[in-house]
Amino acid sequence: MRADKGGGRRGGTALSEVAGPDQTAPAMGQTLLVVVAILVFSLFALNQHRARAGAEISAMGREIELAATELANARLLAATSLAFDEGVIGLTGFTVDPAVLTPPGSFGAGNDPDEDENTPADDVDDFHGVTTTVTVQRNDQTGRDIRFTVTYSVRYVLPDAPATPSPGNNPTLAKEVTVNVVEEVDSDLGRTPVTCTLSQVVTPAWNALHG
Amino acid sequence: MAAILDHLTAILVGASLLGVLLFVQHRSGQAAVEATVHQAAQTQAFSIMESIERDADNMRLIEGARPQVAQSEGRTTRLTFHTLDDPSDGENASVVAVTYRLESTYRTMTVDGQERTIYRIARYVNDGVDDDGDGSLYDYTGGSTEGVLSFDARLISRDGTTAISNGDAPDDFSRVSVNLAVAIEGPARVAGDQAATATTNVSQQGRTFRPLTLTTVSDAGPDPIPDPSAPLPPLPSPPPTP
Repeated sequence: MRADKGGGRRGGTALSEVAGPDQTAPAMGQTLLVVVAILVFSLFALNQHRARAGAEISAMGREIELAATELANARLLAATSLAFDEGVIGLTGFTVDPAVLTPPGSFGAGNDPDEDENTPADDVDDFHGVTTTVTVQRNDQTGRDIRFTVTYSVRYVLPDAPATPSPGNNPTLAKEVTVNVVEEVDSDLGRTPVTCTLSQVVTPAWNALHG
Repeated sequence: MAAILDHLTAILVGASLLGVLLFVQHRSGQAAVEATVHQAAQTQAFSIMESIERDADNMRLIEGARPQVAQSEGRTTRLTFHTLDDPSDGENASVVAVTYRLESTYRTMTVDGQERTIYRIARYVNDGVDDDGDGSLYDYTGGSTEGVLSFDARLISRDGTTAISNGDAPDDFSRVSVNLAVAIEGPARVAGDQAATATTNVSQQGRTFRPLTLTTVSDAGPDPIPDPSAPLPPLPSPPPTP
């Protein structure tokens, strides 16, 4: 028994020599758990942050979409409020003769007779090909501006099928005015730039009545 | 005690993580509130804008009484024009004078980190009869919530070269442009990064209306046209000082 005890003591000594690494193992495990916990939590926090940023970007995008739509609508109304064509300005009533209308090659600012690039637009097709940059102020505050590029295009369409362009782009009694508004984004916001395109078909009679 | 000391690191780290977790959860909840607040701000702006749109789309021009807009300190304070009382009545619809008035609420709201004065837009209709018996032919018929930051109405000429923001509509009046910003009280700021998100409690909207039936109505008909210049009910009084 003594021998056993002695052996036990010896064994105890031996055990104590082995106990060192046995006590370090739980500490290592604890450290690993802490590291894993911090890692998992960091991922969770980053995900939360990304979700919040996504929600905010989405809200901003909706506001910018509203601004783009209003800008496109306002510009479309402004363009279609003018005369249907240079050839009908000053005319009493409205024309039914496409021959008096401007050929598509003369669309654009300053291309009508007695007009130059500085002449204010006075008919619908004067806007064709025009590109401008517009700044919309938000919330009455500087630094919240949104910049848009506005592009106009005008083409003749078939009066009885307004979605169909005129064959050969020959003059007809219907013009389709399209306003395209694209947000100018300086940096990568994690979303595509807001775009809005609005079109309206006008006729000489429509412009005479409502323009 | 020994057990606590043995696991001191784990306890400290665990407590820290728990604290940060609670904060993240709180901010997450707040983000949901901010999204809802933004939606509410948009809805409020839509609501008053739809009312203006309905009236503007049915605008009528009366001989000798053009649409009018008044401005003060860069804000539209009053927009007045004639419109149809109930367009669904068709040709029998009566013409009324409608006025949108910007009224002070004597309150402020924090928007984008700044204290801003807020207003409301009230709609008054003059149908020639003092319906509510307050002595004014203009009767209150609703309006926006108390959160309007800005209101800008312009009467635009056909060629777009004239945009009246204070006065009578131009001779070749064609369009009405209305811009307004509406804010809703957002959650209180509890974190530094919230300054960047505070703009979500405001919605800015603009519309341009082109009345398609902008025909001039003679005032010589059997029913008198209500006077758009009739006095409005008095402005709300400031709250008593405590």
